[in-house]
Amino acid sequence: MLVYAFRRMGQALLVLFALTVLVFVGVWMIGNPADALISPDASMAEREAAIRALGLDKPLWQQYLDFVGGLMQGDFGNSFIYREPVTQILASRLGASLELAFAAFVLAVGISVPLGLYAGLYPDTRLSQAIMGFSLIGVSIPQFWQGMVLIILFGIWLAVLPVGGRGDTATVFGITSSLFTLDGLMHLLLPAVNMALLKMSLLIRVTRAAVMEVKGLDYVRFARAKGVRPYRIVTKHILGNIMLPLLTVLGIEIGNLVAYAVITETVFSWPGLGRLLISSIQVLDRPVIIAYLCFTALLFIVLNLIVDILYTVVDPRVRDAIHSGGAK
Amino acid sequence: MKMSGAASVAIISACAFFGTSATAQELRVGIAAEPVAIDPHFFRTGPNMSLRENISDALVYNNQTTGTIEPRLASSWEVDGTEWRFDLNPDAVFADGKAVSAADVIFSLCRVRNVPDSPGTFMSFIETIEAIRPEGERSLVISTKGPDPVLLESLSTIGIVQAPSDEPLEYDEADCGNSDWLSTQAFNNGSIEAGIGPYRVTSYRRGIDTVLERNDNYYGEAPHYQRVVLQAIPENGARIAALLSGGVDVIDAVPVNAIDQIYDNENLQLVSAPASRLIFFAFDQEGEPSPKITGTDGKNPLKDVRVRKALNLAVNRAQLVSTTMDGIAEEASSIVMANIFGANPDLPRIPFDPAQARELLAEAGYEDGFTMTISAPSDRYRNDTEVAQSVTQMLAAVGIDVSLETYPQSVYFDRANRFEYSMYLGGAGADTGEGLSQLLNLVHTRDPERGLGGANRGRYSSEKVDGLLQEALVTLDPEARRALLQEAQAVVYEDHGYMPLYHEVAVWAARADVHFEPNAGQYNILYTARPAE
Repeated sequence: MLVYAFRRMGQALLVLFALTVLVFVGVWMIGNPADALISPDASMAEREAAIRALGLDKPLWQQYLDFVGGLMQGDFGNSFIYREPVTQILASRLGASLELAFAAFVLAVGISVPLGLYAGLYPDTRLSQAIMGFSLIGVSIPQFWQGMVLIILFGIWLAVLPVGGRGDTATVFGITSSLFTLDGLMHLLLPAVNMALLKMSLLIRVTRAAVMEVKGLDYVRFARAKGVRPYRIVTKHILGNIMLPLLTVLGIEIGNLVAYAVITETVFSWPGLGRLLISSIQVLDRPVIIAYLCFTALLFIVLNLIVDILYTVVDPRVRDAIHSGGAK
Repeated sequence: MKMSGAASVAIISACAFFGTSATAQELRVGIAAEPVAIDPHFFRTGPNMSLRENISDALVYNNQTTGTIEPRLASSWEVDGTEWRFDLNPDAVFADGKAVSAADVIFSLCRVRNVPDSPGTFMSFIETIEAIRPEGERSLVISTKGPDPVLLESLSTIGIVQAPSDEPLEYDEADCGNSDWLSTQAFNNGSIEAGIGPYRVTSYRRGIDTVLERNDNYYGEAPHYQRVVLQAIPENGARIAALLSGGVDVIDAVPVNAIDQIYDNENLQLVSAPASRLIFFAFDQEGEPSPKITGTDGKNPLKDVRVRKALNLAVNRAQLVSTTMDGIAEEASSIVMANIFGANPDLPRIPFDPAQARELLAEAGYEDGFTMTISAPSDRYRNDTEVAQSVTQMLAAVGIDVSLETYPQSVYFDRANRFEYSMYLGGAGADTGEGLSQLLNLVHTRDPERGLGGANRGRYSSEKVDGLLQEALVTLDPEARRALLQEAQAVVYEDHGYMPLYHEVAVWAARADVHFEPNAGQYNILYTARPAE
């Protein structure tokens, strides 16, 4: 198990390394960050001073070596524009992104797994068809537009919810979050729903498909023939066995919620990582872009690892396979 | 683009139900671009300069709306050749109660060069200063290298911070013998105040908001609102939604496609001021062949004044302004905007005359036109891509085989600096609020060594214009200087050195019951805001 985890981590480091090279070369090919940053009216002397201050006067390979050197000491460097450690900047945005992801995740899972289960168990009922219709609409609507519609509907027309920003935060057990205040929750609701809608559609479909596959299998039929109560069949035999595909999807989706909330964060002025990424790309703030992408890669690697470990918990076959040496 | 009729009606009627979002003592402003730092010297960029105007007074204030210089920290000044004497206002006190002194001014002006890690300094505003010497605590004398007619305008951009030491520094063009320059982080986290202003920053949360509280010890007129919250809402739709829902009282940078909707809403008002920024197309007048022109046997047609004139005549500026910009712009025939110092009111409008344009092209030997790709940014100026598209069609109408390429600004200006365009869309403002800096930047022969012609990437060059501007640079008499600037523009006009399109108009939208004053420099002036009568 440990060997397996280490091997995964080794692969992850390789991926991260390739990523940093890519970003360096990519940004270098796009243009000079100094030109994106400074005022077009600035004098040549000001431009040169800026290029020197940002370390862009050195050749690219040396800039990269400097970066790697810093990385060895856990230093991702300073943002070109804010001139503060990027780790600090990312950390200041992470909280907002995490709480949004958490709220969206709870909404999505809490609603879509029961709905998917129902639609899978009774596929021919009216309600099931309605659920499936809803999920089709959910995947088809562009998130950007959907966000605007939510804002117009609940923020302007009905005027019951605020239309943007994070709202008040409170600190409980050392965690500062808007989840702990009413104002914060009100601000959180629309963006969380906006993000959850798309995930719900996907999760409903995955759950339903898995349920429909599992419920026709021999062991379910056998259990039913044996006279096991339907409730127990669903919770024990069906739910237990659809966990594998569901876990895989959930793992990736949590990552997506944290890392790629760009659209929702933009529409709702949510001060999370996604908005930071967009504004950093606009001014070619290379250190922030790199740190963000490394964080994202790391996030997905860790999530996949957790999912793999959870596999071994929910599925004895996987555990046995690993123990017998075939780490697949 | 525009919202459908039913939806906007719904929004308007919904707005009627709104009460006030906050107490009358608080003003909430939705801003498109947030300040990158509280430090007044850290970064020369619009949002930072806009905030600085409210929290850190300079020696003087440059009122771009009236074109006058008003006293701020300096209560009076006099000039004699290259010597400027300033008397400081003894009532202007920092947070600790100490009045502003010559030592603070010298420290601040010297810090401009030495602000740690700045991605873009204010250096060019202090370049002409040779020495500064204190005369007692409350006066100082600034001597410039030569006569500098725009010193006051330049000084109006530099906020004065409190020096860590009472002992005045020895001013020089390096580090003034000092090493403690106050870190930008200390300004951002509130451990150092940005200076003396009508407001002080009490909270700065990047990506969220900047909170200002009224400075009760301010020496000037007290602002009306006790608290101002600047909320960063970069997304256009979200910013308008925030205003419509009552979440904010004022928004800046109103996008063109929202103008009608706000205009029709009786609970809201539009506030605008003509801005100095000229939007133009520059012609490559150096490359041979020019990078984006083909079908001319290697010649650069843009070097021919007849071709440049033809292109200028081919553009229908009235239509551009009324249709593409929805009226939110002022047609331009020359560089400097009408109510900015140095504008030339005698230059006639450039007519729209496609027939003559064709004739001129034929005369220059391009009966069949030529093939050219014109370049524009896609995210730098309001409606930049749409404007470039319109111009592309207008040029095609006089027989030029023209196509358009657009780039995001992160790519665009880098390429412009490497002269990769033949005809490109740009914008340049009068940063100091008068025409000389704008002309030096745009029409003076490009000379990176001396910091001239920095935005002149088409490399228009005229000895006569250079001579006139050089003379204006050392002419202190305002009327004589004005005449020089006007003459220089007349030369550029005759040369068709540029294709001026329009001057931008800065637009804010506010609740109808809030009085908000527009600003030609596109700054958010918060201390004059108050409830409307």
